[in-house]
Amino acid sequence: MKTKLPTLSMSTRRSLLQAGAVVAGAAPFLRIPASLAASDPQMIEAAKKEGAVSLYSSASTGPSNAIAEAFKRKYGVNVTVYRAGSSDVVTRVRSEEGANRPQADVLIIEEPGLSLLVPFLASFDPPERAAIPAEYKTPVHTLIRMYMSQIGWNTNVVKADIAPKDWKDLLNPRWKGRFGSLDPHITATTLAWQVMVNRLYGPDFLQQFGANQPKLYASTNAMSQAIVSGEIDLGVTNSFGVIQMAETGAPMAGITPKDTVLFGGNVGVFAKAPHPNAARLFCDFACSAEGQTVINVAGATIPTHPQASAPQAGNLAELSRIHNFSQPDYKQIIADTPRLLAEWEKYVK
Amino acid sequence: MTASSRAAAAGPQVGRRSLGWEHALFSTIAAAAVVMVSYPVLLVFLRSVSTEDIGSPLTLEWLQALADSGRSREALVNTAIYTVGSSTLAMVLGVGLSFLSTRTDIPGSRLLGLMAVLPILVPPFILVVGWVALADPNAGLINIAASAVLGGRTVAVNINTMAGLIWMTGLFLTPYVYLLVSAGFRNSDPAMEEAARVCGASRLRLLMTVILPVQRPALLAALLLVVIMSAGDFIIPSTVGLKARIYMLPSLIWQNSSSFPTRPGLAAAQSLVLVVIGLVCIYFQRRALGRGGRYTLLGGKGAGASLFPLGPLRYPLAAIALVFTLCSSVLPILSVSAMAFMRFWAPYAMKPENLTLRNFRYMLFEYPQVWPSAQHSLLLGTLGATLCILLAITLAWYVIRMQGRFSRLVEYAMVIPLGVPGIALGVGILSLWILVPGGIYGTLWILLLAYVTAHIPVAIQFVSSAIHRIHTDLEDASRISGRSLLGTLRRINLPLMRPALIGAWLLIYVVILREISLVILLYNPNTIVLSVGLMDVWGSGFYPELAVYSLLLMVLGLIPVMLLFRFAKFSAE
Repeated sequence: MKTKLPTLSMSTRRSLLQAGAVVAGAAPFLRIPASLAASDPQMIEAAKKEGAVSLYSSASTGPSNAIAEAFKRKYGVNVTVYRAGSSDVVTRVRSEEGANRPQADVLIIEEPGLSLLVPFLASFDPPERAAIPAEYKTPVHTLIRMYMSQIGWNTNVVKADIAPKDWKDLLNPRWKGRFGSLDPHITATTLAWQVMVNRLYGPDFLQQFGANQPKLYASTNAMSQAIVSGEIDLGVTNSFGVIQMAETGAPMAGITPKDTVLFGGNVGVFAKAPHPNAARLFCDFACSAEGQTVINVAGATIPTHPQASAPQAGNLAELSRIHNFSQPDYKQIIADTPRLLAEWEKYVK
Repeated sequence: MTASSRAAAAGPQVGRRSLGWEHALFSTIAAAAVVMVSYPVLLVFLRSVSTEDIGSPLTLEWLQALADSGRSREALVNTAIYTVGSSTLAMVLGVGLSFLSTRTDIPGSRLLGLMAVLPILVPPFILVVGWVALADPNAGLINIAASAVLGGRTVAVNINTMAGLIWMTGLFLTPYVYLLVSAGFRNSDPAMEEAARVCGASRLRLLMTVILPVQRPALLAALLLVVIMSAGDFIIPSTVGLKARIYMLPSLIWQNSSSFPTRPGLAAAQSLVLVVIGLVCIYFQRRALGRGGRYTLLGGKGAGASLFPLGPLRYPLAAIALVFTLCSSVLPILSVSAMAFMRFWAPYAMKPENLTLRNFRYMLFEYPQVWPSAQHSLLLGTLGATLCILLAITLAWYVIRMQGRFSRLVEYAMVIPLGVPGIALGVGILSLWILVPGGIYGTLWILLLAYVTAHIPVAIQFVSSAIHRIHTDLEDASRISGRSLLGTLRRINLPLMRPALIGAWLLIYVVILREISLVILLYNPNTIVLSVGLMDVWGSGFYPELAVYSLLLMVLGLIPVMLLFRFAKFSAE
């Protein structure tokens, strides 16, 4: 399925972000359930007394700042955001916990970083997540934003008739040396893609993929940039990368192949949070329809709360009718990383 | 004090009035500095032989993995080629430009001087993005122009090659060479040159046998600096190098500290290789340098070296110098400035309908981290550079003039941070301070400590080569006239070293502004700095936003440079 590009050409990531915030403020229009106000007034009072909350986030700056601002506006509790790549978040939390100097209150992170930090999280069942389907919840964390692996391209160069439809099309000699991939050494999420293509097409795929000489990039946005500037024609990227680049007016489009990997950002509260009440209040807000609307609009991702409204990236129920989402076993991936990287190095070089 | 009496006996140049407390003060500071630079390396070493965190069982697994890994070996070879190539380019350009601008009658020599150091203010990101925009085989403006002129798909230049990497790094390092060498050219004693000229030496012979050889300390210091900086460079290998799949040690270190599961042990083992390279370089530099007395060139007599007439080469050389400055700063700055005004960046998108001020509005007024980070960076840059220089003067004096008992140790220790990649140094500093209850962890002080630790070697290179050039006669005269050691330093050495000190201060200030990997693990949300904010936008924003942020960083770097340049010029006249 071709990704839906925004129809409002003037709309931008920022104006959407602002619109999201405005809409989120106008609660009645969103059919936000009554439970929204149900966050325990005592907890709100205690959180206000604590006065601050420290968010450690591996989501991009846009969504991380947007949810922090929205929370501050709603509760008057200041949020400081530590935003970094998930490995840096993991390293930092581990050092702080190791030295018994916890600084973090609440966490938003993707796998596989999440699995490594689960031991430091507290059990917490925020009231707002009652509406979220059980498959997105564990006792310690809740999935609040999702995105998918995609193929993205420059529409000036790649016309509809030659546009790839599936991962196998990347092996076409037409794209030799003219397409990009993320490097799994740096973005661990690429490992999940590697596992998926290996399962779908067997080990030959990676070999032929390597032989077609992808250029390697360190981040989704660096690659989107290279696609738009014409350095490369297309690349293995993510849904939010394609959507946000297209929103700037750049000639970018993408497709989600039938089988794809679903990635997600989870929220959780640290067991040793210095501001335990503010942390729980923030977590509750991040799970709510209002919070999810803000973070998913700002990040062009898919919410898990049924009442959250972030239409850019599509609706998971509709998408899952067409696609087979691969939900990797990240514990296994963490254990297999050395082998997977050795395979990658052998073929992609 | 036995130490002070020994120093007094060993070095008559120190003067008999050397007070015990002065020596004790300098020795104490030197000892503290040695501790400051060594513990991070010890902790990195511990990490490279620990299974997991420090304190876990010891293992040789990582060092073994380092030796076994084909990638590590390949990276070592690539790093060697890259280092030799970019250091050579930087030395040729840096020495050439500083000679042209200080010692010849080239037209616009002052402008040339300013242009030669300008690239220091250009965040490496601007250089990288600018050159990709110019010389990418598919999307580079030069290749697009070449294809239009020559027809077909012509690839005139390709930045995604080892030569391209060397070109960018060479340009990036040239101003460091310029700053280290030009002070020496400007201040050199004309007497020797007069003597050579009187003896009938040709201009070329004069250059090769007098002018360059007397600058040996500065040249060797510059060479050491660029060799180590290029070996440990991170930005260019991890962006263009990654794309071109040319792996180098710093990019592997980064990969091993960023991939899951992180392999800090392997990263530490790879860092150790860089540390060893750094120490070997300093060893050879010291051997080549010999002892200081032979290089005292700034005597008490009035200077005013004569300018070399370039003759018919005046304009051609000026043109070449102009092309270099265009390549290293003006072109990349122009392409990044253009980027800042665009809705998205692509060569074909440079049309009026894609222009916008939105990026400025968003980054400067809506982005919450930008102003706090600017304040922190300015504070840390100013304090950090000043502390570095003061400490460097103290240490260089201890090593060169006092020749205290541990001066060799201090000399070697002070180069250690150069050989330690920023990320590893950060881990080392973090590993200690996180354990100190109520200490500086999580405050701006830990960042200040990290900056001073990381940049003390550069400060010392500048300060020592400046002290080497000052003849001890001047200091002795001051001491004999009854001035104390500190008074002599203040009245004799500091004024004579001023150009070098200003150069070093500026250099450290701007490097602190853009330092990333060092502080990535040390900052926290309340102490965010510009460079970290820049990296965040790099990782998760778009080039036009990044361009605005980089321009801001550049402007903040430019302000003190403009002020100090005026000041330096006034004082020189």
